[in-house]
Amino acid sequence: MFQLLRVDHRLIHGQVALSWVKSLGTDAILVANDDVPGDELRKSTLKLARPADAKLVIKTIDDSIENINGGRTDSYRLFIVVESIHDAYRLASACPTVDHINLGGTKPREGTQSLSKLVSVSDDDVRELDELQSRGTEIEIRAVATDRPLSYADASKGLTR
Amino acid sequence: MQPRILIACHGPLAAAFKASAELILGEQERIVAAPPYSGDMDELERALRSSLDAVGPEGRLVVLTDLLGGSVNTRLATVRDERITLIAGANLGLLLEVATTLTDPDDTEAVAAIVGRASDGLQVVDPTADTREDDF
Repeated sequence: MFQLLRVDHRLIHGQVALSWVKSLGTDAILVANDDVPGDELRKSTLKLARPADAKLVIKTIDDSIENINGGRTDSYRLFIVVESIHDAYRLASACPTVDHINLGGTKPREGTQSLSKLVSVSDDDVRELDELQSRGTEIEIRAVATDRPLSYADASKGLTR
Repeated sequence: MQPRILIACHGPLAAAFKASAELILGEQERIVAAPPYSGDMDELERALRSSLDAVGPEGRLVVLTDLLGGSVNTRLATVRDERITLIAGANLGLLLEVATTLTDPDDTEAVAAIVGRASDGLQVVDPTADTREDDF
């Protein structure tokens, strides 16, 4: 059962992961990323953050889509984490069950605007989030599960489009 | 009702704990760092009482100190008030988990579980030893 897709440029790490997993009762975390599966150093670093009672599965975006749409994640309480808004867009566009995106953190880059204190968005990011939102995806901003969610709809009102 | 959190340590550690937690979690108004302890016990106790006033008669305060046998913890432990949960030997993991997951400090099992996990987080690390690869 899909619970949440989180965008965090640091992927999963320590207490941030733990607080989400605890709040949601997650038993499987999917790190969906095209670079990590082939990068042993990054993989072993991410595994340090694996909570005691949850699986930590690392797959490319395409493999993740195949597993989700193929029903292989249905029996898990699944928390997905991606590194970028574009990766979230790819997953959410391809998987009908991925209908809730949490924006946790993206770094400021050249040409980005600040959506919130921890989330910066490029024009492409805005375009993709707008599109997902218009298709009914719930998009909200929170650092940790216990924060009050700020909806993307509200947060993006001040953006230059 | 979520508890307030007071961190009290020798030297600059309390303020640093708060700053480090906020780096990860964003601003946390509920977390208060007591003034750096460098000998003034009365100042320390005043900080505790000020936090107790802030939580009110029905509120709860979690007090995190740096060292079980240290002066800070010893002095604060003398303040008997059922609103207080006092935890010594705090590490950053403990602070983060208390701040993000502890809603009822009267739930002794929940507190014990958090303290257990914070203790488990204190370990020698060998990243090359974890060869487990999970799959669905």
